[in-house]
Amino acid sequence: MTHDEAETLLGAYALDATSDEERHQVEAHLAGCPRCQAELDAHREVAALMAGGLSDEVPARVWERVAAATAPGRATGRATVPPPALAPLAVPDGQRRLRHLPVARRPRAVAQGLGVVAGLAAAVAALVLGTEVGQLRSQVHRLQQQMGTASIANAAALAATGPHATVTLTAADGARAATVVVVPNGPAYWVSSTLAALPASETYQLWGLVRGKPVSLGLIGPDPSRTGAFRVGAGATKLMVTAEPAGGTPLPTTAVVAVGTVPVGALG
Amino acid sequence: MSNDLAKASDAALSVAVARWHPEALSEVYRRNAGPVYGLAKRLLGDQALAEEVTQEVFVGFWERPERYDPARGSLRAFLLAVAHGRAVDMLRSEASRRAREQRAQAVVVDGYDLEQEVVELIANERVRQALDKLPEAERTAIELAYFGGHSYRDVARAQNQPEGTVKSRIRSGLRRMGDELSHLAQGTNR
Repeated sequence: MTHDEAETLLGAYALDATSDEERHQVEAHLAGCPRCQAELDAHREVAALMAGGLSDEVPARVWERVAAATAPGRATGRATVPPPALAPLAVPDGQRRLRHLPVARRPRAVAQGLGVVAGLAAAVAALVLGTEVGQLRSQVHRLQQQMGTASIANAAALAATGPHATVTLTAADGARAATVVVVPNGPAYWVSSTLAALPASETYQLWGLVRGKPVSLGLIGPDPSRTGAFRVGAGATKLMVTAEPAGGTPLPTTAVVAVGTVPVGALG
Repeated sequence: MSNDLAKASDAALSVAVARWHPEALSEVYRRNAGPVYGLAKRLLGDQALAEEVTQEVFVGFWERPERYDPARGSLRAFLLAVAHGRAVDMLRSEASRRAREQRAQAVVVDGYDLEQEVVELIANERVRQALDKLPEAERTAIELAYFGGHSYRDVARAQNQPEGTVKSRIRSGLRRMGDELSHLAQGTNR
């Protein structure tokens, strides 16, 4: 196809109004013709402006399907593999007692009172730090980026319009400490909290309990009133919060300040 | 990447998606899913198919973000072009092929209704004015192709015009609108 022939087809091509054969010929020409490419790009901007008024409310299930299809660990068409989320860590049996620890309203006081458990956790943490810290850092970085954005509030609101479970995390006295919205397949949103703010040197860290083991889901930051998005892996039965040094830890080093049960089937 | 995704540029978002940041995809979706879905629904007249197209568009962008080149235009224009192409593929699939001839015959009547509808659909006053300023033959050809999913040959047959004429009208109409709306088009290319 000559340049002139291709050029006359650019409008129809931009609107998908050519035959398949013409489309292939135009595409072959475009690859080597910046001028036609630029004209096509301009046509597409015009088309996009015309389509702007067609905007329609998208059913929430569409985003759920997109989120499920793009979830970490899903096979995708990309050549590279996404960085894995923090894998469940092997911990001594004794660590399982963590789930039975009394929850505490004030993390600092309880952290001191449970020094033995914290020490054990810290020892385990030290063992695995070498291999996990790189992954943890990337996850921490990612989650920090997710904190407090308007899109998360929007996503949470969107999630709440479709199938979802609301997990209420409670403190030791049974008072509501935080609310998390969980969507089937794992997207989850930290939407509100009554936990006290921490000093900047500390952060709240969210954990999922998977087969009795705590798995880091991400950092909430020192200000628990901010929203956050994260992903709950399959098999998580409980969500837990601890107060940790800024930057987070691979395993809890302080006592759980709030805990909530993930309803059976909430993760799809 | 900016901490405030809501203000992130198209380029920053596509880079973040390429680096597997799911929150960037969610922001891309938040900004563009409405028009993508609306366009697919207008073309296909079917909610389930429109949902399928929307899902494919965003999953496709997650898997192949490098297909979008920020230097070439807005992310919205790119995503809408993908959606339009996919919807038109569906329209022309085997199932609808049988109905094509009847449809081509119905274009003229359909065209009238479509035109009324397009006027209402185009919310942006400047875009509507630019479309209204076009010679009627150009405007109709663009509307039938873009909103109706008809090929230029279908349009030519229905309007009893030479194919080459319709082909040229679509191009010249789009160029005219582009000149008229160049400031708006650039505004979407952040």
